[in-house]
Amino acid sequence: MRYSTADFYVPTPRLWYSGAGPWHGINWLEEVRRSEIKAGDTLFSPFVAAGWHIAEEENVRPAQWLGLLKVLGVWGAEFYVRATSSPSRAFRRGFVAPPDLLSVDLTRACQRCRVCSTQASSRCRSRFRSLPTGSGRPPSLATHRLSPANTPTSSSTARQLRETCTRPSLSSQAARTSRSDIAYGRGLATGSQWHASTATSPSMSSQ
Amino acid sequence: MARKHRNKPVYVLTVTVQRYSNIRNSSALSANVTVRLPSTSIDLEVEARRQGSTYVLDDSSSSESAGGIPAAKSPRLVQLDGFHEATHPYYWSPHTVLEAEMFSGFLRSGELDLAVGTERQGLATGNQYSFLGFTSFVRLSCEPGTVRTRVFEYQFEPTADRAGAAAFMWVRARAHPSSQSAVLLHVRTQQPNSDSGTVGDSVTGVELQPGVDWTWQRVERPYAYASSGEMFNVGLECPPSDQGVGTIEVDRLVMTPDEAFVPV
Repeated sequence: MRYSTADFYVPTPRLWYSGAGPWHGINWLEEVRRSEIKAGDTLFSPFVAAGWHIAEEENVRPAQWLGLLKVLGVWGAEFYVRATSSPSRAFRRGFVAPPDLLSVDLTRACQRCRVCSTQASSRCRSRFRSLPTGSGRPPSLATHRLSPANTPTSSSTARQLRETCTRPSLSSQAARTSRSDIAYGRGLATGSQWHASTATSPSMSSQ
Repeated sequence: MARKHRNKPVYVLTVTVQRYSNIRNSSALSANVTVRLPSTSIDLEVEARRQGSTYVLDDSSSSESAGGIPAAKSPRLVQLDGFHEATHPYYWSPHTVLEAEMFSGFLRSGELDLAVGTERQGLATGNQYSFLGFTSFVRLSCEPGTVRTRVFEYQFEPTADRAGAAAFMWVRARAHPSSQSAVLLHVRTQQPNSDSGTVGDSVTGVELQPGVDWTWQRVERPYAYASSGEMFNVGLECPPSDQGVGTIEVDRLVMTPDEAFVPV
């Protein structure tokens, strides 16, 4: 059995059935699964996303999303891969952490920069610049912000930062968990870390 | 959306009410729907909800019995996701609801266990497959001459914030309508004791009066949620033969940290 990993990206409620372009709605997936099941592929694991808008009310809300995912379950989805990223302004500018730098404190700072504001973005950029070339732990955010050397001063510095931040790296787990992002020329982040930054909910109950 | 078991008349289906806008009240939260099952002329009537409703329908005809009691007549329906709510999960009920018919192994071999039964309020439409307002339950036979050693087991993992907290259990059950006297249900729990590092076993009896329909009964024993990462085990079983006979039907169990909570 070939094991398909179709994508089910519904960025907003009105596209849940028809979809639009690369945003595949359930109509497209129904056709896909019909032929796959007929060919013997009874199971699959789709990449799914309920939208990437900063304003949560623009995305598919939890109850509707839950209903849609259950339909995928009946079609044979053994598990789901979250394809969660953000098309926010900071993200479009290309300030994306190479996966090998997404560690420790840096992860949290960069998640904020993609989701929240330009100010957070600059923190993220400046932190990249101060990173040691080795694998050492980056300095704390508070220490870093107090240092005048950490303020971007010239366009050449900013360009260097951008080059550093957008350097592709396909060797880590992030390359596997967010392959859809690669396909669209976007940046990388491990799914779990990334999701934590975009979700607005506190922890879920046991039910 | 429905799919059939490859060689048994057992179906799994999901129905959901979808909407095109996030505007409040832009669609109903639930609706009654009719689903034509694949490769049949069966029109199944069930309730659809925004968050989806997933059912397992067992349409196999069986003359076998479960512990001396004739098996429930087909078709039988079990809803797997009744506890899902239409709000963000953060706002879901803090009480843990266990559907009694979904004991460990209730879907073994691709069909519903014979102890699972379904009761319907009435067939207003005349459709044999109308399940608008139904109750599925597990039947525990403790009649003389039957095998009384069967235990229906349930497991759940409490959230970390409840580790070690007090817990209160409720059971929605009844004596079988044919019962002439009160019957006793034994609720067995296994809880790890973090102090001694052992697993404690406790059994509490719940008495069910004859002629009384589904009622919530509190299990009069204080419990404590297990430590984070550990499973809470519950079992339903017959009492010893000298303590009572009869047939018991159990619909639901609830565990709650709220002492004042009364399920409805």
